[in-house]
Amino acid sequence: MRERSADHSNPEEWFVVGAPIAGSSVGDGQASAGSGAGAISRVDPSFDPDAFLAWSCSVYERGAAAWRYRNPELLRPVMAQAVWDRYAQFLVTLSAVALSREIMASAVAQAALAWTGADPSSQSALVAFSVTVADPRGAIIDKWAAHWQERWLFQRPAGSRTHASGRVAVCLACGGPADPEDSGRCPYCHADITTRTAGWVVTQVATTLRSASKIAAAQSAAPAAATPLQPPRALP
Amino acid sequence: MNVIRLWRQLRAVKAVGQAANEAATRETLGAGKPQRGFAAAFGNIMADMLAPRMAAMAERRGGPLPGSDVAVVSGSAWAQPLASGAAAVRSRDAAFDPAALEQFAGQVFAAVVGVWAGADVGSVRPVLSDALWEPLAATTGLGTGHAGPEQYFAMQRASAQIGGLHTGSWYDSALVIMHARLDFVGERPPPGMPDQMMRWDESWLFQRSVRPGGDPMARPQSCPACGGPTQVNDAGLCVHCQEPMPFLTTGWLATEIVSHHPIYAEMREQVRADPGLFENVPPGMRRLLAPDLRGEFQARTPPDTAP
Repeated sequence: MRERSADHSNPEEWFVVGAPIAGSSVGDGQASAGSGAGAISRVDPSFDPDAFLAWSCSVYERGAAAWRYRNPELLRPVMAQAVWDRYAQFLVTLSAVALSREIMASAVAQAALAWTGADPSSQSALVAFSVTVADPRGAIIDKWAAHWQERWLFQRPAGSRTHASGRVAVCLACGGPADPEDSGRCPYCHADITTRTAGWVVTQVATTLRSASKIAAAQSAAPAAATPLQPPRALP
Repeated sequence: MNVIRLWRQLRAVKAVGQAANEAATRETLGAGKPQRGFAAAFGNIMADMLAPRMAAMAERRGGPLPGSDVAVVSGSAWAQPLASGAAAVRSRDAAFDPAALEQFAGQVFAAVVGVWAGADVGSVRPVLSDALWEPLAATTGLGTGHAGPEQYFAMQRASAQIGGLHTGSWYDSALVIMHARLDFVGERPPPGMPDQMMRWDESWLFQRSVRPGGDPMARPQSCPACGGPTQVNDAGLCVHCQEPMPFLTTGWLATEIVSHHPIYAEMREQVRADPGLFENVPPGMRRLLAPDLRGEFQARTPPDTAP
């Protein structure tokens, strides 16, 4: 049996969905650039790398919850549409099998801030997740699926600023902590806080998880088809 | 080594199936004691794997959106004359044209058939409710070929005809009758397939929120009944006032399909004639069967006597 390399240094092993914000200077080599958090801190002194990293882990944990409940909606507020569409499709496809769903829901990730950048169009933070499946059945079914790497690119508009407290998920109106499970309104002042992540959304996800590229290959082989256009509507 | 590995894999799969089996038994009234052993466990694994496929091919797929008027849920809305229903929709949408909706509905039917034939399932995401799209995506997303019943779904053709219109407090609703047939594209139908199996009707419910929103459907930021911030329980009810939380939609979405293909009635009769067939179905699979059939079985099965 041919064994795969485990260092994931081969770019061909990475499956990528989404794209950086147009005009942002995120290059292919961002993962190894290692510029720390300085790039954002220079334009946003309240940016706290540790708080950001902790928040990014909570986003990943929300992903695990999406698998547990078979509900991709949990990720919609923190993902760009192009990323969410593909992720949701991957989730509903793979989670049709209970064992896959339970294994994916048990994934735990170690996060590291791999790269940050700031340019006139956006601020960017690349978080590298080293993912391990906690469910021992994962290794029994496929030992190569028990551990993989992911890189999530978080971006926000250039003018965004972190709350003075350094917290990432806060109501930008009153500064209260924003519950990631909430409905879009601040539980304290009821302001619309759909931008409760201080503008951060995941614009690109790269993964070495084999099943992601397998399913994507099957889906991309399907011919595109036209979506029926809605009939005209006159709104009052 | 490989044998040991295979054995461990089987044990892992069995454990999942057994857990699903026990959970299904707990949730299924009259299901008796949980089935045990490899066969039962694998039965539940298969039930779980087949669930999206069964939901995508079932006699009744999806359902009216939460917050639909009772008349739409019960079907009494379709008794009113079509012209008055159209006038009511036009009173709040001057551009409403039943012919345009009919054409759109026919295009949605054709697009769904296209997905069964191998087209990208993303193409129908904007025109189907979650309850219709998700099982379809899960079933066709792997692109694993089009053998079995899928091939018949890919051969369907239909002409659409509006059967009823209703203006509700939250949604406009339209019942569209699809006069469906199988198109063997120049080839001969399978020998012995009766003509009534090749022509049938389907009832498709299309709904759109009176106030547009969603992408293609999303809950409003606050509950329209009590004004509280949107939070729903597992049943989709507002946690504050326990009223159904409706959805905003970008436009018309197909939300429910009821097939009147005679094969479904035939299957029901077969199960009724031989209850043993039903009893051998794992609890997880029983939950996927038509509610009336499930109810019948539960009504005549004393607790703890089912296998």
